[in-house]
Amino acid sequence: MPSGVPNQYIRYLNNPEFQGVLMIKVQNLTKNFSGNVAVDDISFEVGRGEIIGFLGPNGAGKTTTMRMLTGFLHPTRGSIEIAGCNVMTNPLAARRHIGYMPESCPLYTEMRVDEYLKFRAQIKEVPRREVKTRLGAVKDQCGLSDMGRRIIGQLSKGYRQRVGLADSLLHEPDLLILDEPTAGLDPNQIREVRDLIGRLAERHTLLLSTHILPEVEMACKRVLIIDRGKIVASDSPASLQKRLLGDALICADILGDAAAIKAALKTIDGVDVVMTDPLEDGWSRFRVDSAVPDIRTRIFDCVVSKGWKLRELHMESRSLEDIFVAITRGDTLLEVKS
Amino acid sequence: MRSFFALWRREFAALFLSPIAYVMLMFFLLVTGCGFYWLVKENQELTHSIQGLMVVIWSCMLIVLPVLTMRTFAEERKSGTFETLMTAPVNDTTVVLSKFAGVLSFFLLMCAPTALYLVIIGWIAPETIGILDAGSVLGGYLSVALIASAFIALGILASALTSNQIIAAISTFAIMSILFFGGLFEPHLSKTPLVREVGGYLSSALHLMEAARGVFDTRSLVLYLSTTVFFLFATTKAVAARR
Repeated sequence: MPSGVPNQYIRYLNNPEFQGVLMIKVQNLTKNFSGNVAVDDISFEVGRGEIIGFLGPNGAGKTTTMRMLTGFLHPTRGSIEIAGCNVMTNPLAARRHIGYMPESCPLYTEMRVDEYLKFRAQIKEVPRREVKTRLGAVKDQCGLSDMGRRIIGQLSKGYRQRVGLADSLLHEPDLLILDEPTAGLDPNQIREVRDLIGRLAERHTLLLSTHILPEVEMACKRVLIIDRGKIVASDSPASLQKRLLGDALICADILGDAAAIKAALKTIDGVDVVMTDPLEDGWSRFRVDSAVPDIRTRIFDCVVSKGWKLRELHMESRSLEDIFVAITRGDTLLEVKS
Repeated sequence: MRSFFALWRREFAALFLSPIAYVMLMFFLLVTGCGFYWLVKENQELTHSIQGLMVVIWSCMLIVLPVLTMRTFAEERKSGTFETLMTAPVNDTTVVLSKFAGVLSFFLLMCAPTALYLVIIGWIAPETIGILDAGSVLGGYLSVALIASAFIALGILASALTSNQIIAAISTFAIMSILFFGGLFEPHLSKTPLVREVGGYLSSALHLMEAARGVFDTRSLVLYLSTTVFFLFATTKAVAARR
């Protein structure tokens, strides 16, 4: 916890009442839409202070799950507890713990930013005396300080997103649920929102869904991958990578007789597959897949001993994107390695 | 309670921020103003004119109420704000009641200037004020408020059932028309006495004219209060069922 963080933010982390209570507890959650199964018997848990990335292809059931967590949709079967409050039987108490920003970030476009935030603060039961300070605080946090008088309908998409985020922070929720917080933003805005989310992660439990995978890789300690209504993976990006894709791929640019090099590389201990890619200037790029963690020095030794020339040698780490594709496309890698 | 007032205020203010509300205000004042002028000109007795004014207000409701209520839930659904609203810590009943109160207060505000007509009459012809029965005027306005609340509740229900404002407005208009005219043409409606009697009991026009004559009828009070409560209850169920 960085210094300078107001006490109220540490409230939920230190409150003995909540010690050991899970932030989200989902059991056997199912949602049918007139016969179509959108979410199929999923269970997961999220602890206090965790940052979870919620991934999945379009239509996998991410938004439906988030809507059920916030109590907007009622599940067909199963139970959800938010900070120990059951969403179905005690909906208002559960909702008080949640700050939610829906996918398209809907706002009342005819209102001014201040009016809207004040209205939201009132219906979120922010104490009368604190409304003004909370408004100032969330506007500061979200970079809206001099936007109070602007009409929401005239704001750019990036600023609307900030208003939505400011709204979700108003009542100092323990849990922030953000559905595609960066959808439809330009690269600069994405960076700004990502930085903002990074700062929020220090103070709140965070569950966010996104399409932009590097974002999740950067911010999230754990990812939940959902596909066709089922959770197919729940782990940290690093260990997912290890489990599903094995070790890194090694790239080497070597000058010489391609066939001879390929044959020589194959003889190195631990090398599985070698692929050749002729480059335009006569060099060849070799991709080496191996079961042994790092064989770069062995490749170097091999090249030197044969008198070939080497100008590049690096390890390509597999991104979350590869993992995502591997899992949700039913890639063979998954079957081979798991 | 605090969230109820916040929601009510937003609902009320949102009406003033849409051009449709101003068009409706203009339409309403134009029709009631012209209607009252004509009524006073044609009628010898002021009481008849006031009865007539109530009927004019009643006919305006047929257009005004579907238009004012159609946006309540349908617009929120269409723009997606329904999601942020329903995930805030407010219960369904509070949301429904605040929307109802917002439209009802707007409509009553709309009716307020018609009371000025009576003031103007009293100013032009002071002798008529003596004849004017305060009870019948108040009764007339109370009846207008009761009938309006029943139909506003109906309109909100229609709006909660669809995300298309036009469908909400037209279905409200259709049901209102049936209830409106159900008793107005009662002698022509049916030869069966039972149908005529039921039609007469449901007719808003007859209730209004009775009330404007100074007759206080508890049956119409019960009718409108119970239909209001029923439609509002149905709306909360419709909102919950859409989850």
